[in-house]
Amino acid sequence: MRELLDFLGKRSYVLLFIILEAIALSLIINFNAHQKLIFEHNVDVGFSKVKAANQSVSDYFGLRKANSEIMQENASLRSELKIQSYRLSTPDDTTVFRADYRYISARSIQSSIGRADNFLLLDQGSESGIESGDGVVTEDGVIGIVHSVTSDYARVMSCLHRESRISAKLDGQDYNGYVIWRPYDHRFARLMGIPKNARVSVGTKLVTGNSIIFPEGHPVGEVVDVNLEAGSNFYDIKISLSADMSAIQAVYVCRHKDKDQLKMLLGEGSN
Amino acid sequence: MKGILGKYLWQFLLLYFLQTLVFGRLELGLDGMPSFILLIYPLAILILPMRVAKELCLVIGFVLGFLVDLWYQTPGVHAASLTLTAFLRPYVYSLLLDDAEIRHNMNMDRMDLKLSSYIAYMLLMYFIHCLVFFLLQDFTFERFGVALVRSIFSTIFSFIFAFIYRLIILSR
Repeated sequence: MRELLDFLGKRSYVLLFIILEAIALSLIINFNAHQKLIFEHNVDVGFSKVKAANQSVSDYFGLRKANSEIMQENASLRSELKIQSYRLSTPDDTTVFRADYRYISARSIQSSIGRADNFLLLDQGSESGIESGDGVVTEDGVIGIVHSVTSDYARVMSCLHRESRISAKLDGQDYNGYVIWRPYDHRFARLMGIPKNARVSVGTKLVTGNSIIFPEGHPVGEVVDVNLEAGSNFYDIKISLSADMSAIQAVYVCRHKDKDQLKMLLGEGSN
Repeated sequence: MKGILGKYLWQFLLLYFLQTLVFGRLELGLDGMPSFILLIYPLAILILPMRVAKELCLVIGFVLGFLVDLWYQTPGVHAASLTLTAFLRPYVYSLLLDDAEIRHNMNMDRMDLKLSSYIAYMLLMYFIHCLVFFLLQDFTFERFGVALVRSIFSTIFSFIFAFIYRLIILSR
């Protein structure tokens, strides 16, 4: 305290000056119309700058929300687009198989790649309309198939699962095969069931084939190695997955609109 | 100290009434030139002997400025600029004067400067005062150039007055 008083005593001249100037300036600002106007304008400008800075900060924190809104819109547009393009390419009277898929945007909240059987957890569940057996894709490629759902979450069997089988075909050819995975490299899988009369070369693109889970023509991967064992009728093809399974964020859950009917018919066949 | 102030009181009053009653509404200038005004009253601070405590100088500056403000209906503008002028006075001394002259003046009951020191001191102090005054009047730096020109002209004419005043007072 004494030091403070000593300090103030030493600085009394400057302090007195500051006090007097403060009084004078407050007089200027309060009792002169011209100066008051300028002062208030500058205060306004200052406040609006602070406001703008504050706004940009809250904008940044709002990005996540904006992003999920855009994803939802994207999903609905994507559903719309598939319907439109299918209608354009197919005459109405020959429509036997309506390729109408519904998309629901979701976010992966947990995923693994290092296990022999890998799963993902999505932040949407049956409340959003997800059912078990739905396909899960990103723009880049196929991710997996919904295994089980609760009201708010869904568990997805990743295509990095020993039981996973995803129907796929060579782009531009109609030979259907299926993609399986063997532990543990998350970048590569195998394509089975392609007969040896198909033309397969390294770099051939792979897309989803006829299936009731995934929309036809969605990218799956690319051929990196082709083997044809002596005496076998089928290729053994090593493919690289086009979706980066180690960095999954936003995904779309897709479902055929008439899946129930199709399932019923397929079930009839097996009985 | 009291004696000194008593001796100077009539000069304060004289300068105050000269400023307000005689030069009160005088605004000089040519067509198209920024106008300037005669500022007489800072002289009351500038001619105070160095012996007067600098804190007291500040208070006198503030009060005199405020009284001038009352006349001009510009509360605070003259007070703020004259307080600043009073505040800077000791620093201008040590900037312009050598130690011998300061020591000599510290023992005097009035300002006793060499002519060259007097001119430099008056011009600098007046210029500071005028510049601060015009800037406070505008309350913005947007017209700094105009304020600068007005300050320079006001300084010159106020200084001429100060010089005449010195001649009259010294001749007494």
